[in-house]
Amino acid sequence: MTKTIENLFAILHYSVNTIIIILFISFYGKVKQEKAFLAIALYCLIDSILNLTSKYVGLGFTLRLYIWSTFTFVEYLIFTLIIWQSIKNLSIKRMIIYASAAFIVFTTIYNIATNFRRIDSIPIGVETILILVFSFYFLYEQMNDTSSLFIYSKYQFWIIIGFMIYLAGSFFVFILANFMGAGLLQQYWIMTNAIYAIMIVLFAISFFVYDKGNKTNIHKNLRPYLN
Amino acid sequence: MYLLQATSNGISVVLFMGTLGMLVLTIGLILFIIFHQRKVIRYQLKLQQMEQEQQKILLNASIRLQEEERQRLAADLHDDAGPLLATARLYLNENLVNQDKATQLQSIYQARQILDDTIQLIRNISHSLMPPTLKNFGLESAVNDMFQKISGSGQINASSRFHEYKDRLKPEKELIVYRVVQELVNNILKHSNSSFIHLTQNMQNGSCLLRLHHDGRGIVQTDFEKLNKSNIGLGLKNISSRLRVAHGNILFEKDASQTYYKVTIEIPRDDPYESLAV
Repeated sequence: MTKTIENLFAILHYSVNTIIIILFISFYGKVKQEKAFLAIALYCLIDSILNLTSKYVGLGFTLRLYIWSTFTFVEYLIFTLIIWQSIKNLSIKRMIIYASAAFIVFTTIYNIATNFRRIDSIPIGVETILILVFSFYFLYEQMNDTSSLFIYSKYQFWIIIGFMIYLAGSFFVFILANFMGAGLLQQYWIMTNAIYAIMIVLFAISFFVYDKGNKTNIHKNLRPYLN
Repeated sequence: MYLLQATSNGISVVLFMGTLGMLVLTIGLILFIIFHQRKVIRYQLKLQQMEQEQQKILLNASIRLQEEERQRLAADLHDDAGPLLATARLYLNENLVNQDKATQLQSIYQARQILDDTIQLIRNISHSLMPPTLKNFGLESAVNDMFQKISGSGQINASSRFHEYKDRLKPEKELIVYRVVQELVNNILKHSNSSFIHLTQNMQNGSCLLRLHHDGRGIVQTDFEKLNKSNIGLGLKNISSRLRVAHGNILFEKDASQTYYKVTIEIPRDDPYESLAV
């Protein structure tokens, strides 16, 4: 029974990733100028490939660990890039670059120097904290920017709250993964998959919000022909 | 460290509570930001709406005042200048050449008198549109002239004194201030039943201050703001819109002794790069 539920959630994981890739292809003409959409499509694609590879291709344990620790790296870069693009304050942008450089150095040293059991909990924990801080700053900036539209009419808002919910919901699972029994980890992995699906749904909403915003802007730019 | 060494059951509790707590905090924060921003934007929209309403009232008042002024001008020209010129024409009709010399001279003299009266009338209309004293000699002379004329009527004691007006305001600003003073004085004469009006001018913090005192019935700032938002009080709305153009302020208050009413007009000094656009 547990195995069936696990498989169902694994299928859900691949399905939602596929939905994002399909959405990206369908909206390509409209969203090609926005790097954030390309980044999330790429993220979903990499996630699916890595999940399928580690499940169906007979890789060695150490190689699998390195692949997943590299994924932490890629995930951090993609999430940070999207937040970095959405933030307006130049000094904060600069700080994000410095923090990212420090994170990359730390992760590389940690991965080389430490032997972890299952996953790279500490880099994931640091990544989560950094992304959450950047996301909170984005929301704070938007909250103070009353000149713009409602915060939820921006597509970046939906992507970033997706990151926040996913990272907040999976933080403890990843942190404690190396200290948990295999059974317990499997149970909580289901929850992580569910939260991942919520994040992808929020990503999907961002495509529609962007499309809707574009349509509204087109109407706004129309000028009557006055002879 | 303790947490990490705990039993599987302990880890499960930490995991569950931690995850739940993180999710609740994150979702709570997101919701707080959404609602806070909505509240702020709605408040700003409401303010903008109120501002637009106020602008609309002022614009209506200004249009109505312009129409009233046109009607007054039309009435002056039609009722006074028109009949005078028609009468002069009567004196100078075709039969004049057939009459004797004494009658001719009498008619020409009458016609000349009427034409002189018409010229004076048109001059008065023109002066009421743009006082020549203001144009030629500035605000100080124009206001002093206005107060002397009022005082000369013997109905009310009116006096004005400019203490620091060596550097004149721009002509457009002077006209605005003059019109505001004119409207205020007109209101005082019409409604206050006061025995004196006194105007003083000073400079304070780079602004030109004009203070009007009178001992009759008057209004305070709250009354002014209320009247400004209502459909009555056309003259007061006109004062507001004029002062807005000059970036000025007006304050209606009662004197500390509670005996006199005081109106203070504050006009910032001219900025060389400033334009009078709203």
